[in-house]
Amino acid sequence: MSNTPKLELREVSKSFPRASGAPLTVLDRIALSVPDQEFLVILGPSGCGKSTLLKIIDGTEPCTTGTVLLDGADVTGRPGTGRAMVFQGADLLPWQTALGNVMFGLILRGVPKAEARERAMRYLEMVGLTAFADSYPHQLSGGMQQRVGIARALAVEPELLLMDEPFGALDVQTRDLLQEELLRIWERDRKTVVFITHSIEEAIYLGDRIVVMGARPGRIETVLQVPFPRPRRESIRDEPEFRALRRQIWDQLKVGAQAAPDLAGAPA
Amino acid sequence: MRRDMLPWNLLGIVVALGAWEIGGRMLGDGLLAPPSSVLAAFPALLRDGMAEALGTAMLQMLVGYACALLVGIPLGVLMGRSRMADRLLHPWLSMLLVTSTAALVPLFILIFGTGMAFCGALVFMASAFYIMLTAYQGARGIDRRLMAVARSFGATRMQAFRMVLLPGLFPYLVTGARVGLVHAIRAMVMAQMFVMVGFGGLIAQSGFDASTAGLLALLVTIMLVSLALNRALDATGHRLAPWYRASKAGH
Ligand SMILES: Nc1ncnc2c1ncn2[C@@H]1O[C@H](COP(=O)(O)OP(=O)(O)OP(=O)(O)O)[C@@H](O)[C@H]1O
Ligand SMILES: [Mg+2]
Repeated sequence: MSNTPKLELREVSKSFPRASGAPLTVLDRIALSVPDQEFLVILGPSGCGKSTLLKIIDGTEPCTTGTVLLDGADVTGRPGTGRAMVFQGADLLPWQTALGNVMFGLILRGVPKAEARERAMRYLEMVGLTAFADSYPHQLSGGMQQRVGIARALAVEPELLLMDEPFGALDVQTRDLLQEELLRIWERDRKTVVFITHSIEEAIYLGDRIVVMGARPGRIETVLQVPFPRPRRESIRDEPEFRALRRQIWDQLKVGAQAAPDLAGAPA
Repeated sequence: MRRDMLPWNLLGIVVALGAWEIGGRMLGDGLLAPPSSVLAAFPALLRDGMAEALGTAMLQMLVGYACALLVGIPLGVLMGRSRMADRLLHPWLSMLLVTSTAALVPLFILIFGTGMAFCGALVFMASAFYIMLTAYQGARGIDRRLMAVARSFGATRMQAFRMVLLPGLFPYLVTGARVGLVHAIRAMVMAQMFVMVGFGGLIAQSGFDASTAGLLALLVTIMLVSLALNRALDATGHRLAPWYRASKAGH
């Protein structure tokens, strides 16, 4: 326990002011510690505050109380350093080519153009899109756009990669393909990842640990260790252990969705 | 797609011209000169200095229009991005947008006389607020998700402005410039008609001619010029930004 975790959340709470009455508490005292090189998946019912939590980690959304520590340094409310986000809808700049989009974060960080181009090409190659470097987003499929979004985040070489349901809008086949691809990339140079999803299977297939959240207010319901070794094979989806874990998470999610607000802060 | 349309476009024009020719011959030159007479009227008009008048008129129009762009775009963007500016300027924008340019003519003659300043000022009033309105709508409608991406990657306000807001505004600015141009040309013709000078003056005078051929020739001329300038602006938009049409259509 001597080395500091990559990411630490201390008592992070968030409430939004409401026009009528008391503020809406979206996150209630979230405490979480993510060791270096861990692939952490956050799973929870819709509206429980997963995206809000990820934005707080990213520093683009202020939290009401609490601290976000990256490598032990306070980065609360300060975006940019050490983190990069992959957005749900890819959210590429329509006026930039795939290459230009991947270069975006690098240019913002002051990397000289020639070097940014070279680095961006490397990451485009990593996601298998070298041939589409000069294509505009509207000329790419949804899956390809999401690959560009991943390359854009990886290109800034973040300590911590944040992914908010990156495959949520894709069809099943593309989704499976990108999951595999993400694992392949991640297993090669293990970054710390916080990955949000709705899909229990995706969570088990990708994660080292799974944080199950409950709603109203958003809180950590339980944290589960995923027992499967790496590198992961697609075939683990058929194993009884996989199905048992899926069942367990499913029950947990149901509890979280139904729990009364006064259960908040129940032991994980 | 465009290429497929061309024969039909041409057919539509030919049919309309044919109908005009037949109708014109029946009604006579005094009421509706047919295209053949209109075409024949051009040499005389050119002798009377139509081309020079048109050139000067366009120049005056361009001065007013350029001022409208220079004022309308920054103010519109400012209004779209700052709630304070919106509150301050919106009432003025709404009022000036609906103000009839023709109603301003007497006042502007008193202030500016009947020369270049008068024409330019009227053109400015006719186009600046449309340009401002589209810039305002563009700046307001900028995709919040893209601004969030910029912030997430640590963009400063200036960087976000330059790398996300401005390119995102581009289609709106082109549209604003095109709509503004149409209004600018109309205002220019009207201004000159009121004070009976230049190209507008030619139109006004030709109303007294026995034949409508000259009048119609002038109208066709200004219509074609207007159309050509508009097309040129659109083409420039596409040249500067190849994603522009696709992003418009894809929306
Ligand atoms: N800017 C805001 N102002 C007010 N309330 C907000 C704001 N952003 C989010 N919320 C509220 O916070 C709650 C959590 O939103 P969030 O987007 O974090 O949920 P989520 O878990 O990501 O949901 P989903 O799985 O559907 O994406 C919701 O009830 C939402 O209404
Ligand atoms: Mg969400």
